[in-house]
This record gives sequence, C-alpha cells and structure tokens, in this order.
Amino acid sequence: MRTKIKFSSVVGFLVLVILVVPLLIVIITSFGEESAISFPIKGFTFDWYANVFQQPDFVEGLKMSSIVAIVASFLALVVGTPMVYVLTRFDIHHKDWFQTIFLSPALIPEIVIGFALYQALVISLQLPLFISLLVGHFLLCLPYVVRLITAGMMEFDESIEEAAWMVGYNKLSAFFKVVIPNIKQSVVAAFILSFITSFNNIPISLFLNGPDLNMLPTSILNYLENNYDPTVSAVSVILMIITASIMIIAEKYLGLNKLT
Amino acid sequence: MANIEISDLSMSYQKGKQILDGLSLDIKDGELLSILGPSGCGKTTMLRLISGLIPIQKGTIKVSGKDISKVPVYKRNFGMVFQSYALFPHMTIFQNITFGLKRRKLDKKEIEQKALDILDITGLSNLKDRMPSELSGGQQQRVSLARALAINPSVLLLDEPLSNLDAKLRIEMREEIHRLQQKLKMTTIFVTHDQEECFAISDRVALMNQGQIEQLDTPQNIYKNPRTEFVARFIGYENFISKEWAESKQWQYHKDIEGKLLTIRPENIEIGSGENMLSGKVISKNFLGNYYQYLVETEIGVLKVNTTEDQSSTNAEITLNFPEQSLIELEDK
Repeated sequence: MRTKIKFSSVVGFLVLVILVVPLLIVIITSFGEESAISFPIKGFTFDWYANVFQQPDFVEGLKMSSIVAIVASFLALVVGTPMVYVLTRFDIHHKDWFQTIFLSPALIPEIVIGFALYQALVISLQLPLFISLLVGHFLLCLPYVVRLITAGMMEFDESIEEAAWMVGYNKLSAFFKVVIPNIKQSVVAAFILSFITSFNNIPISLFLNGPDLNMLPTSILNYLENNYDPTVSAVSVILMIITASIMIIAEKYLGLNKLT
Repeated sequence: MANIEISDLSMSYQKGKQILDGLSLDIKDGELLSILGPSGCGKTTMLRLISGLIPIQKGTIKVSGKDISKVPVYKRNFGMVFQSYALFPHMTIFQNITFGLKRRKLDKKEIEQKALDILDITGLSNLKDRMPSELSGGQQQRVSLARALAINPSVLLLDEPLSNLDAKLRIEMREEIHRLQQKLKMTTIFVTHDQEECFAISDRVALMNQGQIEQLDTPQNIYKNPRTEFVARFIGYENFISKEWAESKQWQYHKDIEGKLLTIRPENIEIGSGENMLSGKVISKNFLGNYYQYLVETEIGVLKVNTTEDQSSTNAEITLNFPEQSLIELEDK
C-alpha cells in the first residue's frame, strides 16, 4: 500500500515536472534581454511583450482567432443543441448513426479535415477562405457541443418539459423557457471548451489561412520560421494567460467536472 | 367541467407489443376514477394518451362530447401531476404556479390573484418565494398539484403522484388530493399500483391487466365481488378452489357469475365448524402484527388462513369453515 502511494506520487511529480518546467522556461525566456531565446536569461525586460503588439501578424491573428473561435463555437451551439435535443428526445431511426456522424470530426485527424476542406471548399467550390475556415472550426467544435449537451439533456428530467406542455406551452416555447435554462451550464461549458479548442487549433487553420487571414497559432508558427527571438515566448505566455483565465472563470462558475 | 368517453383505444409499439387493446371507458363529470394495475398493464400509457403527451394510434377520446384526438397537448387544458413532481427547477414556487397562467389572456393582477388563491387552498402561501430544491418531497408534490390546478383544467390527471413519498406523507397527500378534488368537483383520473390509496379516495376503480380493463366498479364492489381470478389475486384473495370439487361436497357459495373457480380471502376462512367444512393440518403459523397467518394443508392444497386471535398451533389437525357469503364464484377468462 505504502509503495503504491509512493509510486503514484513519484509519477505525479514527474508528470508535473515534464509539463510545468518547459512552460516555466518559456515564461522566463520571455523576459530575457538577448535577441535569441536563451536560458538562463540575461537581464530583464518587457520589450518582447511590446514587440508582440507591434507585429501586425500577431495583432491581426489574435483578432481573427478570437472572431473565428466565437463565431464557430456559436454556430456549433446553434446547430448542435437542437440536434442533440431531437436525438435524445425522439425515437429516430438509426439514432446511433447520427450520433457517430456528429462525433466523427473528433475521430478524424485534424490535419486530414484541414486538407479535405481545402480541397473541397477552397479548390473545388471556390468558397472564400474565411467561410471555409469557419466551416473547419465549426466541425472542430461540434463534437464538444454534442457531448456536453447530450450529458446535460440526460440529466434533465423529461417530465419537467412535459409539465410545461401541459400548462399550455408548445414544444418550441417550452424548449426555450424550460429546457434551455435548465441545461444552461452544459451550454456555457460547451461554448468555453469549443472556444478554447478553436482558439488553439493549428492543423485546420494551417490549410485554410491566407495572406489576409492569419490565426494566432499559425502566425506564431510562421514567425518562428524566420525569427527565434523571445517575442515567441511572450506571445506564448499571452496565449496561455487567455486560455487559463477562461478555464479559471469556467471552473469558478461551473466546476471543473463539467468540462471534462 | 367535463366528462370523458374513451372508446376502442389501442396502442402498440413498433416491436409489436400490444400496450392497450381496444379499451373503452366512460368517466363521469366530477368523478374521481382510479386506474389500478400492476406495472406494465398499460395504465400510464393510457393516461399519457388522454393527456396528449403521446399521439393516439387507434380509437377516440371525447371530452364533453368533443373529440380531442387531434388537439395538441398544450391546447387541451388538462392538469397533470407527475410521479417525479417535475417542478421547474429554475423558478420559484410562485413562478411555477403562474407559469401556465402567463400563457393565458389574463392581466398581471388577475394572474397574481389566482396564484395566491391556489397557494392558499393548497396551504403553500408561506413557501411561495422558495425554490423547488429547498422543499421536501411532500411539499414539492403539493406545488405540483397547485401548478396543475392553477390553469383551471377541465380534467386532472394524476400519474402515481404518491409513490415517491413516505408512508405517512402518502396518506396526508391522498387526503389532500381528495379534499381538493371534492371542493373543485373536478373530473380526475388517478393512476396507481397501490390498492389501498386507490380504494381510499376513488369513486370508481378500473382495474387493468394486459391493456384491458378487467373490472370497472366501486372500490367496495371490487373488494367484495371480484369478477376474475386476476382481480381477486390483485386485491388480496389468496385461496382458490375448484367449483367442481366444491359442488361434489355440496358446498354453498355466493352465486353471481358463472365460472369454474371459487375464491375466498384468508381472513374470511373460520377455524371451527359451519356450513362448508374441510379438515386440514397446520403446517406453519406466523404472527404478523394485527393477525396470525396459518398455512393449512388440506386435500385441495395448502390454504392461507388469517385470524385475529391465536387459535391453533403447528401440526394441529383443525377444521376450517368457508362461510357461504365470503366464498365467491369467479368468471373464466
């Protein structure tokens, strides 16, 4: 028993070290004065953070990534929630097929989705890049929405909805006035997870970006190809702070168990 | 108010299982009718068909002479109390009760007045600003009843409303339902699997089995004169005797319907002599609180005999008497 506890604490400690130490190094290097990333750092400066906001690619990327993440998550919710509602409430033929289809984007490698969408939407259908990018990120977000809303619907007692019908509400108004307020937590959780997934995605964005369409993570990648200065560390820290603050807010209002 | 005429109602699932099988039933205006039966007999399905929560496949339901088969659930104006209470968790008790009223063409003052009246007659006035999660099961079910009554329904439907409550609350709540039903003279259908709670408050009882009504009668008549073996067993008749055998012994029994089987309650068999006698040996004796139960081995099998007093002991040879009025003939099915 004692050795088991020892073993798991050693493993836990190792995982923490492997995960946290590199991140700590990134954070530290973002303050170094030297123009190449080096560790340990010499001197201390905030210049690289300032530099982040002087790079049009990063500023535009941050804007574009946020817009795409918000719009894609929103679309995934608008499409996914009613879909899940129908799948959980009604007896539909081949229900499990539908469920698999809606979850499948999570099973296909993202780089394949990116390439396939590039082929189909950009090359063959000549759709604007922005639309194609949105479609890609929508597909990325959909499985999260499906999973979380399904879990929320399962917990929700069907009779409560029936009670609303009985006192005079048709199915549509009952859905908005009774179902949605009671699965609110799942909806918010789905939005946050979708947002973070989309915001941090590279493989899909890589295929569907262009001269005027840069996402923050791909911009970082592009920047790294030509430069190896602490600006990259600084922008990584900013990315981490954004993701972490969303997680912390979510945790505070929803509890972490809703997000996993 | 309203009377309900159900005719030839059938329902089956895709897999071919017949849930309701050509069921017909008339419910009078202002009557409290119970649908009693074991789980799976179709009683809940029947209530859901009446409520409109599931569509009618075959047959018709008329309320006050009007066919409601095509009327959607939200336009039927029926009150329903669910087994799981089903209160709106995100609303206060007051909002739960006014939710249905808001859907009707009433001004704010009228809605408030109606809600306060309902809260008053259901004894919930002091809870009106609480959330459902802060209430006990009994209080929640009371709110559920108040919410159903608030819309001034033409029919009140109760789907096993007492089965999630503990024994004491169950009695209290069923008295409450009965009191309100009498006060409002509301046509009520009460679905339950509990014989006692159904007998206590019903005007009539429809005992269901396998999608059909086995017997429709007053609680007293069902109790005293079950028509079929199923009904008899369901309401506590445990001894069954072949009529052919009884006639060969020239036994006298209560003749009402024609069949092959006679039945008698364990508490109606007497130890001692009388008109219809049979001897046997006590093989077991159990004290069950307000009565003793003997298992008596006889030439027609083991019989159950309940007596209020300790009258014999294990292995004793005794004589049983079957009083004529308590020995009931059953219909074949």
